This record gives sequence, structure tokens and C-alpha cells, in this order.
Amino acid sequence: MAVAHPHLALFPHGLNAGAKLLIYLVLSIVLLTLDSHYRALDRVRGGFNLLLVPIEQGVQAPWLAWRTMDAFFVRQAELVQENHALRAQSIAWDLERQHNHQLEQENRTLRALLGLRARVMLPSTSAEIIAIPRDPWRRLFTVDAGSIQGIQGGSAVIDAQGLLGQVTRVYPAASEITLLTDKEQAVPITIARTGQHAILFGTGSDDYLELRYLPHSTDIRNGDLLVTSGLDGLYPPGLPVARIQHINAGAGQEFDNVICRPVAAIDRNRQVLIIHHTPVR
Amino acid sequence: MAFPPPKGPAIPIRHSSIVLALSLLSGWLFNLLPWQVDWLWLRPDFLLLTLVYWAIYQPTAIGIGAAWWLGLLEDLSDGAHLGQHALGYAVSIYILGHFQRRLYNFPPWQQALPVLTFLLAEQIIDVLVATFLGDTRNAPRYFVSVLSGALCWFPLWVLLHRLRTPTQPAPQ
Repeated sequence: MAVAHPHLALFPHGLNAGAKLLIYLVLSIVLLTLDSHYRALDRVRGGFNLLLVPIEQGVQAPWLAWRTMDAFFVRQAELVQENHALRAQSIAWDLERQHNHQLEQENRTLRALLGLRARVMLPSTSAEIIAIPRDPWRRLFTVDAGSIQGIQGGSAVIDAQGLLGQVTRVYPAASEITLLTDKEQAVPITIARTGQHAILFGTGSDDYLELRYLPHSTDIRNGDLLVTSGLDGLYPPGLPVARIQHINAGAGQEFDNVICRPVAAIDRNRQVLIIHHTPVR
Repeated sequence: MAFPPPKGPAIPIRHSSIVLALSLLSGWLFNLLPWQVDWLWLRPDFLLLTLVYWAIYQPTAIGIGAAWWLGLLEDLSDGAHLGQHALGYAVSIYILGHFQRRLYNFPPWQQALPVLTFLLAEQIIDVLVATFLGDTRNAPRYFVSVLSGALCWFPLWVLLHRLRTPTQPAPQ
């Protein structure tokens, strides 16, 4: 009887399942509170993310390799065709550039005459999307540039066509971008044709945004371009955001219900451009 | 007082811990894979499925604690609120614990329905936590990943059962 039989231990299986669950429940609540109410664990997240970035890139490697292979075997004819198209576009852009140059000079003189602050070219960093979270109802993704590359929270993110969203969380080597289609996002805009100010809200769907609180008398038409107004001091002014697609002027409603389509290729991107946050005013 | 040796085939207490660790790791890596945004809502939770498998067949190795920690890992990599998936996984495995002995003896196609319930429990906790913390989302479509997860159960079961080193007890 000197050696205790393993089956005769007082608690052979440790705590019972209910007690364990209770402990972990309390632990979860503590963590959730610390994380989302006090943001106390952002350093932990940052440290973990530093480890995570190479893993995420590794996971994507086979897919990227396949794409590179695929691109390698493009047909000669396709290349020639693309080359022609690019040449034509290059000429068109050259013309436009000259025109722009003229306009810019004119603008500068006029602004100087009016005593306005000169607009500067915005410094930016290009980044690549490395992960999209599993939760489909939060419109965000992770890119491979972070505080090491000088990214700051709140900066605007664009693609070749227009505004994509905003940097909402910055890690050392990566940052999280919330798309403007996220339900929590709002962008102050002006209607390019009329100069009317309004606020554009995300809806949680990729295809459309909503323009709220516009009275029935507002001058808006289908196809109107909406650009950032810059009034919030976060987004630089003049970035294309969306086009008006459909106007619902129900007589029973207090305001127009305006549906807009984002200009940027919201879910078709790999490369994005992060504009460095320069607080205006 | 001596215990008589048990009659009949014994359930092996613990084996193939390398396979266990590697399968959980690859479940997590599968969750990290980039998906087309259009299909994102279909994406099943591979880590939870692997976890459920091992909680059925290796209940001494994988319990509520392991589920909680792996959920925390998922939270960290997913950019979710810390503790959101952790709580969901823990609750899911806790419910599983009540049916583990029965599930152990079921064929995989019969396990798929209970597995769907565990995935559903996790998803409900997930949505509840997010709602309490102020996220608003259109929940119905979000639950489709539970169905796709249950569909993935059979292939996953076959794969893991093959990988698991079969240690047949010698006939007495």
C-alpha cells in the first residue's frame, strides 16, 4: 500500500469540466474588456503580429508561385497587344500631363494671388495585402507595411482609382486597414459637380455605400462623382470616392436615400498606396 | 486491494502526439490562407474542426484548456477581439465533452450533425460577443460557414484517421 495507485488519486481528472469552463469564461471576459475597452493588449498583438507576418507570407507562397508561373507562360500575341495598348495610353497621358502642368502653374499663381496654402504632392508608401480576416462581416484586411515603414494610424489608403479606406491598427511590420464599405466607416465628401458637402457611410456590403441626411431639394444626379472634402483633416481633399448609382426620393422619407458605388476596386486589389497622414490645419 | 485487468479492447489513452500537433498547426495555417472576398463567408473554421476531431478521439490530450488557448491564437491572427474565439472554442468543446463517449463510437457521417451543433455554438458565442462589444453585422449569411464546416467534416475525419497511428491492442 506504499505506492499510491494511479486510479485512487483524489482528483484523477483534475477539475471538472464545468469549473474549467467557468475559469476560462472569466478569463475571456477579462481579456475582452482589457482588449476592447482599454486597448491594453495592443503591444501583445504587435509582438505577435511581428511573428505572424512571415508565416502569412509563407502560407501564400505556393499560390504566388503558381501565379508567377502562370504569368511566365503568357502568349507573345497577348504581350504585343498589351504593349500597344500601354503605348497608346502613355501618349494620352503625356498630353494630359502637359495640360496638367499648365493648369498647375496657373493654379499656383491663382492660389498665391488669393493667399491660399499651396497644395503639395502627398508622400505615400505602397503596400501589399497579405491577409484577409476570416470574419466576413468586418471589412478589413492586413497589409505588409507598418510602423517600421512609417505608417501611422488614421492614414488614408487608396488604389489606382480612388479611396479604399483607412489604417485602423498599426503593428511593427503590418497594419490593418478598414475599408470604407465597413459599417462603422464614414467619409466626409463633396459632390464634385456642385460642391455640396455630405457624409458617405459604409453599409457592410462591397457593392454600395450610402449618402445620408441629404434633403430632397439637393441637386444630385445619377453618375455624380463624390470626392473627399478634406474637412475632417484626415483624408486629403480631392480623392475620388464613389459615384451616385441610384436615388430613392421616397415622399414619405425625411431625407433622400442615395446609393453610391465605390470608385476603387474594393475587393480586386493586391497593391495599395498608403498616404502619409499629414494633419491639415 | 488489486484491480483486475480490464476485459476487452482498451481505448489507447494517448498516441500520435506529433500528428496531433501538426494537424492543429495546419488547421490554423488553413485558416490563414487568403480567400477570394466573394467566397469569404463560406470559409469553414478548419482549426475548430481539427480541435473537435481530437477532442472526440483524444479527450485526455485536448480539452477545454487547449481549446481556449488555440482560440486565443485564432483571435491574435484574425484581428478579432482577444478572447472572442477563445470563449467560443472553450464552450464548444465543453458541450462536446458531454457527448464524447457516444461520439467516439459513431461513424463519421453520423458525427457530422453533432459537429454542426458544436460549430453553431461557437458561431453563436462569436456573434454574441461581437454584438456586446458594439460590432453590428448581418448575421444570417454568417452562419453558412457552419454548414460548409459540417460538409468538411467527413473528408477531414478520413484524412486524420489515416494519419493517426493505429495502435491495435493485441488480442488477449
